[in-house]
Amino acid sequence: MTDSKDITVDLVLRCESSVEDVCVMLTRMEQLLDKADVPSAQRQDAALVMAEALTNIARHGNDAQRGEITCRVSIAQDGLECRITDHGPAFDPSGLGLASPPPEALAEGGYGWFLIRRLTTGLQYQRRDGQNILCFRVPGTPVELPVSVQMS
Amino acid sequence: MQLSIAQTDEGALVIDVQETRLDAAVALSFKDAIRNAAERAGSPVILGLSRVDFMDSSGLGAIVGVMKLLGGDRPLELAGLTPGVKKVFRLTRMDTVFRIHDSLPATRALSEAG
Repeated sequence: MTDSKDITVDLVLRCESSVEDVCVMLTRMEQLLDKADVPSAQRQDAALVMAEALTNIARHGNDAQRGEITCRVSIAQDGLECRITDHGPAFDPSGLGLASPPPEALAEGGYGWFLIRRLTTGLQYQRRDGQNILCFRVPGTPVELPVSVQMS
Repeated sequence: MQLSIAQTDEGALVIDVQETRLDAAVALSFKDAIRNAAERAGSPVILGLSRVDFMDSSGLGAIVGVMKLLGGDRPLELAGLTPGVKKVFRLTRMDTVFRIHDSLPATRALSEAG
């Protein structure tokens, strides 16, 4: 983990747990990361991981479990420390996203947790006081892309 | 959902997406809009994504859904992927199931005959 002295900017954003509100907050988060001079590849990775995590939260909570989602992003020298807190049902991420669906399956879903895992390090989940707390780091050096052979 | 629709001389239907985000909030309306646009004649269907700077797995799922809607005899091809969009395709290896063009081909005004 990063020492607090390395953190240059702390962003805290909140939104309601709905898909629409989540997307509005993500746009705002991207603007703030841009303003803070976070390199574009890292900003894109963070925006993607946040989108996947937040969309899951907005989709899986029922009405009674909706409520506020809080996102905290600490910009450090060598990466973004992220923490997402929500009031939705507890879940177990340990088995989620270990592999992506095989391309030939033409799956329309099931990529979200794979992308979260692929683009982050130090993924940690806790259930505390009726809240889910998901912490991860988006590294400063973007992940290497796999080499794909294109069909044409 | 803003789309710009045209045809190539070779008979491809070109649908250029005029949105900057393909995310969970727009995935359904995107799928509906492409389905409507693809009622016009033309094959393959080439989806222009050069304005889309953000796509998440919901957007990817919608594109795969469109591919399946079109069926096997009318391929869906992609063009003009921005770096962020390209990355999602490569990480999920879904770049292996689409033919991907660097940019959109030249088009002419859409003939309404189809």
